[in-house]
Amino acid sequence: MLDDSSIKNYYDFEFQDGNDKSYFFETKNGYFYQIKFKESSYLFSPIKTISPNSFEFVVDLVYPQGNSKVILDSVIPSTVAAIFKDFFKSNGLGTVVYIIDSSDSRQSARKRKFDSWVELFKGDDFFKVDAEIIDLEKNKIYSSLIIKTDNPNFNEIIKYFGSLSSTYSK
Amino acid sequence: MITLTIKSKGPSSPQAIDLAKKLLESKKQTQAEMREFARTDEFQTIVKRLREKKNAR
Repeated sequence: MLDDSSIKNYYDFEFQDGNDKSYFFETKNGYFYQIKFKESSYLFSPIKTISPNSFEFVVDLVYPQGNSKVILDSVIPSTVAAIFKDFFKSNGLGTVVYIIDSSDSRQSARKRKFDSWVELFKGDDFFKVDAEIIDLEKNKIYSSLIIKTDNPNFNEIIKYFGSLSSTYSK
Repeated sequence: MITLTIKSKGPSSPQAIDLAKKLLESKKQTQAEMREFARTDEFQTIVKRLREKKNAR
């Protein structure tokens, strides 16, 4: 369990190691969530020092499935934050990228939810970059990157991620 | 948490759009795998352990 007094009142979680790092927790209403940090070396493939420590963050309600009436639960944000911190404890060099599904025009609400989870990271230990990617049909795709501020490749990571969302110029 | 926001007024670079598409596709696939895993005995073992931990408190 997490040894960190900055995040209080979170659900017990179970960690499963492997190529991808998975976490599971059950809410008081019997909902099971899985969080996966999926190893994704292609994200930063041009930068060889960063590439092996790149992960995609994916969260999903895995049980019960097909349940659209999810009850609001204030303990979920602190649990997600505790899991993030636990992940970074053993993956200090990790670069985590989160992409927000934009297929049903609810991306702004999803972004607010993600931001509310990671807002619980107090202090200056973590750095988040929010980037808007606009495709050729002018759809807005939100993406965020989270790293530790003491990451030795900090400047290179921020510069590369920033360059990805820059305006297209011929 | 320190946050930096990068906004784009026009279309992003082809490289950025391509990466976003790859990430969205990967996320969809990962969520499908996670839901599949939730139907396995291995997942049931995790459920059991989490509930035992909760009941022991």
